[in-house]
Amino acid sequence: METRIQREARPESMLINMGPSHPAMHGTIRVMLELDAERILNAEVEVGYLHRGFEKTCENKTYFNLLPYTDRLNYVSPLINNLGYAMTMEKMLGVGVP
Amino acid sequence: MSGLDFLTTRLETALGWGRKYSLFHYPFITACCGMEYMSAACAHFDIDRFGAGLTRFSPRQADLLLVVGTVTHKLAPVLKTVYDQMLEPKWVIAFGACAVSGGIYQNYAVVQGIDRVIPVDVYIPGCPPRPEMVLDGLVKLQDKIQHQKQDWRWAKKP
Amino acid sequence: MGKETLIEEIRTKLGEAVEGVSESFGDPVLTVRPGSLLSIMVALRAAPFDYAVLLDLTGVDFTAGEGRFELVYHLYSLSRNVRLRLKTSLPAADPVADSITGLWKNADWLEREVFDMFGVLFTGHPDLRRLLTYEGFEGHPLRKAYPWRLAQPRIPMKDKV
Repeated sequence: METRIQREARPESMLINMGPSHPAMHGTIRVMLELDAERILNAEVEVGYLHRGFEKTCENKTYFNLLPYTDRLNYVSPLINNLGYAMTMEKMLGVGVP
Repeated sequence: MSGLDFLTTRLETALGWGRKYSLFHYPFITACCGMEYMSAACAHFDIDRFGAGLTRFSPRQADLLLVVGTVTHKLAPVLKTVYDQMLEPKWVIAFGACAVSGGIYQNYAVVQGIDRVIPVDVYIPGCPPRPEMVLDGLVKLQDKIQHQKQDWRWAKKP
Repeated sequence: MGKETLIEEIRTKLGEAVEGVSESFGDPVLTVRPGSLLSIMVALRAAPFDYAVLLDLTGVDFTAGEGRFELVYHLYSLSRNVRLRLKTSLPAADPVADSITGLWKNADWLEREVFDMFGVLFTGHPDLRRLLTYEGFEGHPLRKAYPWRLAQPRIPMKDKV
């Protein structure tokens, strides 16, 4: 199955796949690079390797149940996600916080 | 011949000792547990003092596969490929609740535990596990490696 | 242009293409017909509205109750610091909408995600394929008809030992 970068690549460049599991990148993402000896000419990105079905889970739980899930959306900044979620809920429900 | 049994037992002990104190691990990091892996591997909670400090960045050079974080169905074939690329003897640690059993994600996208894809030796639960738990799991794996039996049928005459 | 005059301007400039204007927690909300979506977006992108940023594009599945999909666009104007929400309703049987990739480049992946999750086709999209799920995944996960726990494994799973 040919990808877009394989179709568009120049014949003299090198195609390298930085696969989903590699220690240099933080997390799982697949980047297909077209290189000319260390200069990147073109890149194609494939995501979805950490799609954990958060929105579908939201449909099946209550507002308070979802607080741990928002922590883990962006695990480098969990408290910001929690804060955004909590403030949104308070705004929508119209509750005041003492 | 009883002398051979004594020799094979001592040899197994030596092999176990050598293998358990020089584990080269490959961190297959996907999600939040990667933060706890990094804190376990760095200076405060050192895994280097257990001999497992060297991270090999290729599965062909590693003997311990640390599966850290959530594995989705899109990523499962990649995990199988990485596991197949490792050479014997190899061990797998399932790090974190998502690797052990799917964690809090019980839905269409997440593999409910990586032991549905590859065989696992030690499970470290927690979301995310404290670094002390990681070190405890590593020590349990070292115990398991020490007591693994080799196959000596080729040496013992029938 | 403050928020009050904004609504007046929208009513006068865009006219009958806009079906309804309302307000939600401080941000104006427009309801439009899917046929006139592209022309409204072109008008909103240009001066004097100047909505330079497309913040988000999502969908809502109301097929059970009201028999439609709803697309929600969030626009933001940098020069005036004002947000706008746009909603369109698409029929449940055949959800098709115009692609706005020509106006905002980030609509490319946002529309791919909506296609993946809901099955809404975007005409004029350069490369409409699945983004978050994988080749061989059948169905559209965020539709209410799709079961929450129906996994489609890519490689055979062993039974739990």
